Amino acid sequence: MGKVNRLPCTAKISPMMDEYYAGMKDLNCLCWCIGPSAYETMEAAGVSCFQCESSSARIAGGGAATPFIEYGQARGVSPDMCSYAKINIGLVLMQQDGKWDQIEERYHLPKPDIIVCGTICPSMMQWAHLLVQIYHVPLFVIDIPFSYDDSLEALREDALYVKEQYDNLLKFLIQHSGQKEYHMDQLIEQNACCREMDFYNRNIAELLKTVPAPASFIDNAVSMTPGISMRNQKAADFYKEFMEEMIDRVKKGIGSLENERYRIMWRGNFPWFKIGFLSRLLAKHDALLVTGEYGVYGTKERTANRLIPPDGYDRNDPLFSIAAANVGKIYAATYEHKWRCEFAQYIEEYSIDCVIIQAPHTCRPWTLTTRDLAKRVEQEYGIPAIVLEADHTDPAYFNDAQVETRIKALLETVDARRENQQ
Amino acid sequence: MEILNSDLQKLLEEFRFRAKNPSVSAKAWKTKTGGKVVGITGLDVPEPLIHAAGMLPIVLLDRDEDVTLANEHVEMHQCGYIRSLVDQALKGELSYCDEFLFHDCCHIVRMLGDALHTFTDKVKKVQFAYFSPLLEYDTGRAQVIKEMGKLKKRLERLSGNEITANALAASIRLFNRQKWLLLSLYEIRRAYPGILKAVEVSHIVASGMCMPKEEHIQLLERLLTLLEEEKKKPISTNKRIVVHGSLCECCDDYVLEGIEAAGGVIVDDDLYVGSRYFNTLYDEALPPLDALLQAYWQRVSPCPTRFEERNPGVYLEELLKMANAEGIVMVVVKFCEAHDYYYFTAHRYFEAAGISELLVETEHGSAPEGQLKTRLQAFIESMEE
Repeated sequence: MGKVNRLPCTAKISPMMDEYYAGMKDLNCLCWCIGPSAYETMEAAGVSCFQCESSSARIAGGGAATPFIEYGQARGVSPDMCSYAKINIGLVLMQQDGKWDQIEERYHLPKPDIIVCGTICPSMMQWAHLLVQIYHVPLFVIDIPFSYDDSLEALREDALYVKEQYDNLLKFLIQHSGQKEYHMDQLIEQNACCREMDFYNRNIAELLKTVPAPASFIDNAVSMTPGISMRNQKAADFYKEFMEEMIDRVKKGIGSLENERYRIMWRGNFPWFKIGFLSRLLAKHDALLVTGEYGVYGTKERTANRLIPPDGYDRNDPLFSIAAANVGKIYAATYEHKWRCEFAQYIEEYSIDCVIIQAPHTCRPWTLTTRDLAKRVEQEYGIPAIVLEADHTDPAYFNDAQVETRIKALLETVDARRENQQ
Repeated sequence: MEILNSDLQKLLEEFRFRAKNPSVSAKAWKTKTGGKVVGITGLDVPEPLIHAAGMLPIVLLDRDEDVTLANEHVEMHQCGYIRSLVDQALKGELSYCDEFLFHDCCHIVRMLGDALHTFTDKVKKVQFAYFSPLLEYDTGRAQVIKEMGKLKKRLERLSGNEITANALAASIRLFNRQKWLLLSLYEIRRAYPGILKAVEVSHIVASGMCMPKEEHIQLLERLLTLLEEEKKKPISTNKRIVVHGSLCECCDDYVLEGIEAAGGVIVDDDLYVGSRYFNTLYDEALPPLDALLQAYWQRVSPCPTRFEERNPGVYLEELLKMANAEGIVMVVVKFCEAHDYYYFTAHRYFEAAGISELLVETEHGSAPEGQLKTRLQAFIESMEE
């Protein structure tokens, strides 16, 4: 039976994020962020960023999501709402009702002074609007348009539209932080950190092509948060260490699994509350998640890279760099773009044996067309693919036995095809 | 129950038939004019722009039939509207549409265009309009102005006709005429509760969404004349109720009938196939394109897929006051996530304001009439205490 051989640096994630969240209590101006909200613009305005989805993922990862979800649902929150939002809103309501004794201290939410929402779906706007009704704090919403037209000209127009909104965002941040002026130099510096972080992540993505893979894609997934929420030198240093540990393993011929028999592509977000279970289950069968789009920064064919060659960063125009990256996010793209950038390139370059697609019950943008994408994987590449209907942070939609049966069947299909090929 | 005169009955049957059979109206119009039929989704597609280009806009509605073929492609946790639309497309029931123009109104509809094209070759590639949801932001408004201009050009290309200011102004007047007539009908409904059944009103509005406006206006004018006689009959003294919701589809008949059977009378609504379709008039004093933009930004009913500061509860409370209603039934379609948040915000407002409210969740292909009957009876009784 295979054993999970995690990269040592991933053990630092939990304490690093605990420290990050603990440091928010005494700050001058705290901004709750939902969606892609140009987090790196905050520090230079004297504002600290609290990323709501990451916070919910952390709570779910700690196995603590259910009481908050249930509390919210008992107060009228729909079970079909995004489970990131359900955890956040349930926790907010619990705190509003003074139920502090029922909340582990590390999950206490610091009260927001402002809220910023980068909207890629109406749910995010409504979530933010709902929080404003509770906290009565100012809200700024950024519209990230969906790209129906893949031409460079259309994408540039979208990026300029988003950049214009970021110009206004900086004014909003300064207005509420009390800082006299926006420190553009600091933003440029922070953008350089992001560029550095993306450099490491591109290398990490390349290193995952090695057979056997020196790390699991799950190592990547659990290490996403510094890249999303912190986006500073500390985060960049972490990814550097991540990359170096991988390089060291490649040199020594060490794989994440002792006997890597199945290389799997994962599509969609992760069931954060079952990451350990998934990791162990796969390892038991000598199977490894090696790649996927979710959580990988700086991979090729990014819109930002197309708009700002070679790597999507313009040192002199940090807001355009951030805007270009946001309009290039996969959830703002068409089916063909998804196929090309979320499936084809990974299957072709990572020696993939099979594909697992998660269709989360409460994140529908990830789900429509998944069954047809799975069929297309089989038709075009002759490898099996399954769609797991689970969820990112609501344990009510995950069944251990069912998932195990389906993954076992998937791997058996790979075996059967290998035998047929011999 | 009062018996309607036979002319009125025939007319109501005509509305019902037109609502249930959009392809019949569309095909007849095509034969007559040789123009193109454009299937649209969402209330934010500027219909007069399509009309001014010499095409016929038809709002694609869900069908009250079991979803079968779509189940192979669409998960059960997608909303019934999407599942029904995919099913209709797969069955070739949308083949009367020459073009499709969807508004990017939610994260699922935006995927639907691609999905339809992927699942079947029975529909043409869907065109999208992306209007910024930020109704009160200058940047959002500038984006919508640009997009509206682009959309006008796209429609001109599709139709082969130039959209002149005069043609657009004439279309706006026509659409406003329909809106005025429907507003008049709702005024009568508030003043003479029970004059028509809620399901009949639903058919009247639905037919107007999927047939030529010119013909619908004629039917409405006749309806208002025939209702003069009905006004002389006794009015319902049941509990006055407002219904909100079903934001992309027809409110299920069993819900509307259930409210009336439980001792309520629906005196107004904030339904998609209801007042939301016609309660925002175009300002004819403005240049025509500006009138379309203003209607988008200054809509009467707040929409959960658009962002504006006002609390939806405030709007619904005003509606209740205007209708002199005693309670509201909130109909939320299962898996309409944007509406889930909107509902929660409104629900908290109602709680604080002491407004009687009942949540009814509906799901395509499921009609738990017995359970709903009990809940509705309890709701109506609670208002009597």
